Amino acid sequence: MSEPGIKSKPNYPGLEPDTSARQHLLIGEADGAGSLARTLDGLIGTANEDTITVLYTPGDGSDHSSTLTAARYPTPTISAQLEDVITAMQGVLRDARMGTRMYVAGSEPFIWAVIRAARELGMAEAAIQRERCGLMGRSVICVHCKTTAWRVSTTIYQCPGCELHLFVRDHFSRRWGVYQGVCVDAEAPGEVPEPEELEP
Amino acid sequence: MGNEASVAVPEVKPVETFRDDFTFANSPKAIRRFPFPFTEDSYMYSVNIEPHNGGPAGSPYAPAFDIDEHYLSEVEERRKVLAEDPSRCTVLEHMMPAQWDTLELLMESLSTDYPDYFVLTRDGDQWTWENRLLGIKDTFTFGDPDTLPYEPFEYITRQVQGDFTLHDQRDNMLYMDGGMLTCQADWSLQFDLGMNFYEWHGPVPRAHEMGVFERALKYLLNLRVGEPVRRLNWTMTVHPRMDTSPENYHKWGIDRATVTPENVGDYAHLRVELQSLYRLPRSNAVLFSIRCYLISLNELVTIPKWAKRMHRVIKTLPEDLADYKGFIGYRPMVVDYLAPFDDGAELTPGAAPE
Repeated sequence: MSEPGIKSKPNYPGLEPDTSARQHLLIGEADGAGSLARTLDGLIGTANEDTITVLYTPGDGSDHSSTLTAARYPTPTISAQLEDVITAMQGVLRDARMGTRMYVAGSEPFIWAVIRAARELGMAEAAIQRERCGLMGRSVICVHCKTTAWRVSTTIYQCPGCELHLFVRDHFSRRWGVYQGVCVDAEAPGEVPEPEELEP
Repeated sequence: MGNEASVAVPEVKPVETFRDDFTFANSPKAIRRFPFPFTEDSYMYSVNIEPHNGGPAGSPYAPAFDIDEHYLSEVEERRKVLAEDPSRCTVLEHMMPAQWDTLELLMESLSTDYPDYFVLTRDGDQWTWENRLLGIKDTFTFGDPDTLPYEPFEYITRQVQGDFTLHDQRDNMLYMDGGMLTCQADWSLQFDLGMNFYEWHGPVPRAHEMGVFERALKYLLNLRVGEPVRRLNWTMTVHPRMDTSPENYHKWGIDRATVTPENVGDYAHLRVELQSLYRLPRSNAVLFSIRCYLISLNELVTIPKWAKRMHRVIKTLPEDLADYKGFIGYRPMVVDYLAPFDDGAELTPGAAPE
């Protein structure tokens, strides 16, 4: 039971310093600090420090902010949660110049929440790099009761909202940052296949 | 576009149901005008798009938007679905100009094709819309959503058969930025909202690799105002159930396990979507109309040519398509039911009933 090649499943190519950009906005969550630091190492020396902004939150993961507060990096803005990061990002983007490049590193829901908010302010998705790191597992929304389950790591799970057993599809909504979960035993109630490990 | 001469005035039946007791049925006249989709003895994907510029008198291709004997039933079914789940009609905020475009296109088309049923009177931006089938007469200010009981897109699509989606066009791409979806073939508007053309077609097997979507998108990006196009799509549904949404799959999925050799002629329905696409003039958005028709196998076999062709198509359909279309489980019963109607005779080309 799989759906090979579903085209809505996103990929995460990783962060690559773009020295041709005129402004750099780096946004990270939890373990994403390491990816941001690597990107900063590539930018410093070629890009003017005034053109670099770093936003970070430990989110629900581990706090690696000390990686980013090293003296050689521009002072990061550290927030407690995603919402504060987005507010800070909106402030930066409102004053942003043409040629702004964004680098986003964190969990899948974090990445897509940031991208969605950035796109609402006119950022093109092509100008936003992404690297997935830290907490794995998928966020899945139940198509029946709309409850979102976090960090689902198996092909089948029980919805915490309606208690139906759901199959996790590869169909992904960038708008919500979630995969779709659909009742697995609708055609044969009670016949729930053995869950398998889900590829992240 | 349709015109008065070729569009027959439908005799609209009292309300029938698409759920619970399933009283829906097609009259002999409705059977003969059913948009049977198979022009050959086998089926595979293709970019089967053609101009939507009318068709034989009385056929569903003649008007811009087909109104038939099931009008009242489908309007009532839509009302029920929306009462349970208002999110089935959702339009993103930036699509308001496309909402008004849709309202104008539907009101103009319906009042032109069915002047006995729909009347549009315009006095500057003061419009009066009369829908005699539903007993509606509303005067509103075109461009001012506060003068209508619903937003313009929802207001008008509550009065028309079939689903509708609205697509913004940006950067050579179409986006799913709104829709009214109460009779969909197992896909979720709420989940797919905001997706681009490739993403929302993500789950469809084979067609990506065949390059079908690339060609279709290229074609649709160049769609011009006043030159709508159409295609047919199909699947199978157990019972005449309009709302085969993923949202309610846990309720209707079980139907697929209830098909038996004895009831298959009554239970199994061919579900055909007459899809038409319009470029909207102000917003440059694309309106996608998905008009759904249902016919039971018992009704279908009253047309001998269709019985034979349906038998051949279903028998030879590749496994992955039967699986995707959701009837792989009861396909053998459909084939066995149809087999006695097929003498193997060569059929005339095309889908017409003869």
